Amino acid sequence: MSARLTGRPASPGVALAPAFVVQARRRGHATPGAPGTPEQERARLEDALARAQRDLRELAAGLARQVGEEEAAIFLAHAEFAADPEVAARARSAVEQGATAEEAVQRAFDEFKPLLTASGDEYLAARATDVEDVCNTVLDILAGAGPLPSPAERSVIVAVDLTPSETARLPTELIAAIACESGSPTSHAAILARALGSPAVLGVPGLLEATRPGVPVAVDGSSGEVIVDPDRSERAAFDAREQSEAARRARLLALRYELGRTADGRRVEVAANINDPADVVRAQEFGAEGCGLVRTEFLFLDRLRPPDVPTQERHYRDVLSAFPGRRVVFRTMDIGADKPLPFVRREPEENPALGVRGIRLSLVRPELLRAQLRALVRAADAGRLAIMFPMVSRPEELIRSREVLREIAREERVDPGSIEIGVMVEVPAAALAARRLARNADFLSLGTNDLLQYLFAADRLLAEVAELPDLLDPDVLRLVGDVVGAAHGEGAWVGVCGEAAADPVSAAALVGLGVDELSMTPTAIPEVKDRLRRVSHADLAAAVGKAMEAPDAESARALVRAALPG
Amino acid sequence: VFAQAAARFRSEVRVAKDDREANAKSVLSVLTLDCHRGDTLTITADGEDAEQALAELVALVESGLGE
Repeated sequence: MSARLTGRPASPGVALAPAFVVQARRRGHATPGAPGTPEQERARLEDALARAQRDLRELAAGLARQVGEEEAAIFLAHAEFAADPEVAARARSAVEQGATAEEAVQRAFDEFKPLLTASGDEYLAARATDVEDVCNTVLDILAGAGPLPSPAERSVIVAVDLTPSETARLPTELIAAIACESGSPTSHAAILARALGSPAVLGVPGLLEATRPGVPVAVDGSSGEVIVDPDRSERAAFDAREQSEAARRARLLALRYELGRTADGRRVEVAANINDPADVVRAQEFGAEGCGLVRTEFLFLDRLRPPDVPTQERHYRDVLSAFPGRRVVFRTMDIGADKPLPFVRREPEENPALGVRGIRLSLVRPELLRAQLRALVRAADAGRLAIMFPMVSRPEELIRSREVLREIAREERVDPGSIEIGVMVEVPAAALAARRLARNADFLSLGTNDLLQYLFAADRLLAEVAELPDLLDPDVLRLVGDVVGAAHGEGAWVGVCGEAAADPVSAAALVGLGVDELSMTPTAIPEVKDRLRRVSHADLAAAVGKAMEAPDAESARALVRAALPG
Repeated sequence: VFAQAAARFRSEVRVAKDDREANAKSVLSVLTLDCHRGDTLTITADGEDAEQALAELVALVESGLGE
């Protein structure tokens, strides 16, 4: 008898394999029977704390290689908690008073939880959950039973929930999928599954009761479906799903390092947006053809003083050298009154989106811009450097910034002609001034998120008006087409670095309008390359031409979508 | 970051905010102080490398903890 269950999709993909049930171990209770002598308990305690630290560090190192620093950081923080001298001291003194190692660990960690939750600070309250996790990890080690039994073949891992130490011990090559009765898309099991590219469904009520070890389990990590012991027809359906999924993945994987082009051979560079150093690895992994937008704000936020030139240069060099021969576009810092910096003391503004931000701030605080440009120019020999200025509304702003850049390049004895200069088109005035801007730049980069927000006068963070802005609005399409035409007329190329670049229909419309480069979040790159390959530029251009004549955004969208293959 | 830096010194290091005090080498204890940018902290150190510990930790806090 098959059992169909549903949980929360946590990592996409489809798999059908025998179940490997990880037994929930009792934790949080003192071992029944005789506790050891204080000396024995103390030795168990020290051993468990040390092992928890080691496991968590190993898990973090593995994740850092496979997924990214950000995911690994959670477990590094957990390792710090396991290494905390106050926890160890409290647990030791409990043991000396006759507690078992389990009781001691529980008490030591428990002392911190109320202090963290009491503050009312959301960040600290979330750390209380981390403390709980670490405590369980240590208790699991004490409950011990040594390492987890390992599955003998490729299996679907079935458990109530997986702790970090359990996840760290599973042999990754034998994980076909993960299904947990509890857990959320942000839990360890989900992070691990995404790192491995294995399907995972979490929060599946009734899972353990329905599952016997070795019984086949089908997991669809996209729909959240889990079928225990599927019958013949369910099996066939899953096999088909698994095969088409595998074929799709193989195609994307094969395509990843191919150049972006349409079916009729028009080149479209598919590049990555980079927010912080961790994105660099992801961008390489997903086959970015360089970077269309490297945000530099992360260097400046949360600091009392601006980073000095050598510090900035080091960061810029790292990014440039990660993409040999590929263009890397750095955006000078886009900081406004919504992100106040201690070293940029300014009056608060009623309306930061319309205030002194981006190039406007850089021009009133030229020392910040000069230091940033100097660091960029010094890093120029590490790769193919391009620089663009944000929030430009008049050509004069571009011309002044370009002069500063040229002057610094001369001072640093770097040929200014070797650095491409661009301007973000995100203010409607800049879109209207596209021809004059393009005359003074090598490229224009459409920041569709801001451009749409300003065109429709709708705050994109305000839910009630968030639906108004639409790139597929017929007259917005016309405006973008005009910007592209104006730029090309002046010999400048056009990129897009907003979210639209990663959305299938919007990206198709942009390519149809003649955009030369799409820059997006790294994980979206293979899909976009795949879609471009299956459609011709001529068809897209024709479709978008018709879309401009459509009565509204909905019909325009339908016209573009009709040009796309299934 | 702060607790990691403090842990490098042999001296006992304590950090206090308002009327509460914590072991500076313990991440969890420091977290429970609920420190925010602009808070005034008092750092004390006792031991052979106390002076060096104080100098480095004060500099670290003033630089915004390298974040």
